[in-house]
Amino acid sequence: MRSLFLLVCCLGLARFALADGLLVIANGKVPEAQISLEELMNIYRIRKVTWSNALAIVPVNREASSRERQQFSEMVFDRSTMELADYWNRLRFQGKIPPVVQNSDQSVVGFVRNIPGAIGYINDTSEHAGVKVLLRLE
Amino acid sequence: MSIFSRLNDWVAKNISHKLLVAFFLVFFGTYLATALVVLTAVRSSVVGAEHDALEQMASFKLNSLNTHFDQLRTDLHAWSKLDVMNDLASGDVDQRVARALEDMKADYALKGDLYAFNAAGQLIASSDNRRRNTLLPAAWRPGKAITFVDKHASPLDGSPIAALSTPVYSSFAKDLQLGTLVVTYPWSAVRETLSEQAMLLRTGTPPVILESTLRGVGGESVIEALGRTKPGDVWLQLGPTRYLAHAVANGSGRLLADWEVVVFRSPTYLNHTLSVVAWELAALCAVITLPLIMVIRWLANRLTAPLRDLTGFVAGITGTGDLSQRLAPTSRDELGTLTTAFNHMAGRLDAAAQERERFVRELEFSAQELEKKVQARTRELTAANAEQARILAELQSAQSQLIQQEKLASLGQLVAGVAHELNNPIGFIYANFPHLEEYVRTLLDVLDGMRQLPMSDEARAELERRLEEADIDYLRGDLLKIIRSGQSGATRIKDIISSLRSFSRLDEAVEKNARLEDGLDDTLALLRHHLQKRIEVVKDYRLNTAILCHPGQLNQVFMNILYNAIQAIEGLGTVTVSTRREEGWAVVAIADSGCGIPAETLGRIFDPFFTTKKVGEGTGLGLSISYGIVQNHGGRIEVDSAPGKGTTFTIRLPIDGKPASQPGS
Repeated sequence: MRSLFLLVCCLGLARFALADGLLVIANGKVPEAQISLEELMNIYRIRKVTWSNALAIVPVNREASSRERQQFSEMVFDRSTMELADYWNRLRFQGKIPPVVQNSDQSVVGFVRNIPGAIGYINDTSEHAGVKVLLRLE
Repeated sequence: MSIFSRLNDWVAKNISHKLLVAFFLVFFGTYLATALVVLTAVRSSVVGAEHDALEQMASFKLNSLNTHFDQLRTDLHAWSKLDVMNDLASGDVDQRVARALEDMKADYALKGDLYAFNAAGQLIASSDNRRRNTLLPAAWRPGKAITFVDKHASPLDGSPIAALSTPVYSSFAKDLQLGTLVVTYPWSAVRETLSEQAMLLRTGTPPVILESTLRGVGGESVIEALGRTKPGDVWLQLGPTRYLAHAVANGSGRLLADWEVVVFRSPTYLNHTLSVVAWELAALCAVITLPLIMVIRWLANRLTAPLRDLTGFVAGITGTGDLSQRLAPTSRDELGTLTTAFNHMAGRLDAAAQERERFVRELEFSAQELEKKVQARTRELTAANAEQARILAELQSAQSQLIQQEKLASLGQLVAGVAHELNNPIGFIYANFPHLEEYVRTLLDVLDGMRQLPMSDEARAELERRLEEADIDYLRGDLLKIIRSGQSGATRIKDIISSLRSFSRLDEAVEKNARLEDGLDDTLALLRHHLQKRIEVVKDYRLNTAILCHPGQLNQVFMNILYNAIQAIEGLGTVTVSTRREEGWAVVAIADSGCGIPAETLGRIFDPFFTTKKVGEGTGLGLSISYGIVQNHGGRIEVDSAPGKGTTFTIRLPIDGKPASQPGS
């Protein structure tokens, strides 16, 4: 009974959070100040691997079950999380490295902050000091 | 008695015991030699096996360590490639690295811990929840690839560990080092892997002992001993103890390239194995020995049973001497042959014994016969000898007696002649003495008458003076005395001569009838001078008959006996001479009160030349001649003497001549 209550609460919270947008953040050493959605798609499809100054792009993903990932998948690729996960898994067999997965916005922020060329997305309500925001997804 | 000498006795008594001991010694010696060979083989085999085992064990231990660390290296390499290590970049905000490390420690059952440091060297996560502000120790700082950190004290807690350290590169950019991943391996696990009696060395000059589980041995001595060993040596001398040892080193190219494992085996283990084998061998010997002894004993008894039978058989024969016994042969072997041969021999012996007995009997018979013959011959010879000796003695005696008798006969003839010649003059003298006395008396009467005649005084005075001068009174008395004594002397001379004549009796060769008393008187008369006043002669004549005899010879006998009697008397004494008649015998006994004859010489007084007198006084023939004379008369002479009291000679003569005539004697 108690766990059912918790589930109901979480669902309610999730429904509330759906309304938030996503921030695309990048490491401070990334030369671009902002990127287009297409660029973002190319980056996450591992078709664009360097920034304009030849710095290697390190895309950071959230875990498959996260709301941010689901939101990101739908917003950017208009695909389901499962479809994109398939795509990334297939990339491994092509010798390409899929985006690094981080499990929380804080770790995404920490990762992006520390890894040069890293790019990630976080909930627009999350703290994101030390990184620059390249794009806002609504 | 010692056990050994008892055993010796026991063995010496019986062949089966000897066989038993011999078989047993052979078995025991063989067994001992076999056991020694087995022990030696076992020892070398055990040493070899043990050395192989040591080799395997050393290899195993080293391999085990290698495997551990290789595995760890592989694992660490894999772990460093995990996506989650990307979180080092984010400082492990999500604790994913920490959880991953904990999971890995649990899943891989790691003995040590995992530490993840970020690129700045700060400890981001660890499997033991260590605090985060720890910085990466210099010792753990990795090179470009996985680095092995040999035994060292943990920089975090000081415990001895080994460690592997690897840089963590990002999965998205190969050159981007996100941090360092370190896995520690507690040294106790190494020690555990080494287990007992092993040593872990780091090769080099000098080698370093990393770990040793060999108790009681100093590391330096091991290093020194290892330095002395030559290839192929299996023994390592450590102090007083020799260890079986084997070392296995990793070659270059391995993670633990300079590690070397030495495994030792103390000799007590080997000795224990050997002693177990030795005890088993001894037990086997004991187990085999008892039935074997019984079998040997049975065999020895079986082998020696015929011998015992034979021995008993021989002992029976020896004991009883019964050679007729036979022993049935029990087998066809040598003993059977021996039994048959023995039976044959017993038969031969039996026959020989019977033959011998027969011979012995015959020999005994012959010996008895011979003995009898010898005795008879000896008796004959003895008798002949005695006869010859007697004859010789008799001859000698007869010869001497003949000589003496001849001498005495000559003397007798001489004396008889002298007596005969003196007889006439002495007859004149004797016959004239009465006349002389008568004439003297007449003269004296005349003288007295003349003195009565008247005459002048002067004449008378003159006559008286002359008579006075002549001492007529004395003359008168003395004259008669002289005549008397002269007459007496003449009478004695006449008697002596008469005695001499009758003693010497010139009629020797002729037998005459004569009175023995006359002969005795004559002899005594001749001996008067010796008798003198000291010896009283008592005469007791009761025979007073003439007997037929040779008086002269008998007088000689009387002379000898009486002379001896006189000589036997010292000082005053008595000689008793008696004659009597006893049936047909005339017996003369002459007894003296002299010193007697000692018993030891009494038997020899009639032997020729036996004398107790001084040389020259006697010839030793007197009594011998007397004996012969009396024997010639057919009589016998006996002597009876008591020393100190006197001697009696008794002469028996046949009254009517010789009973058995002895012609020519």
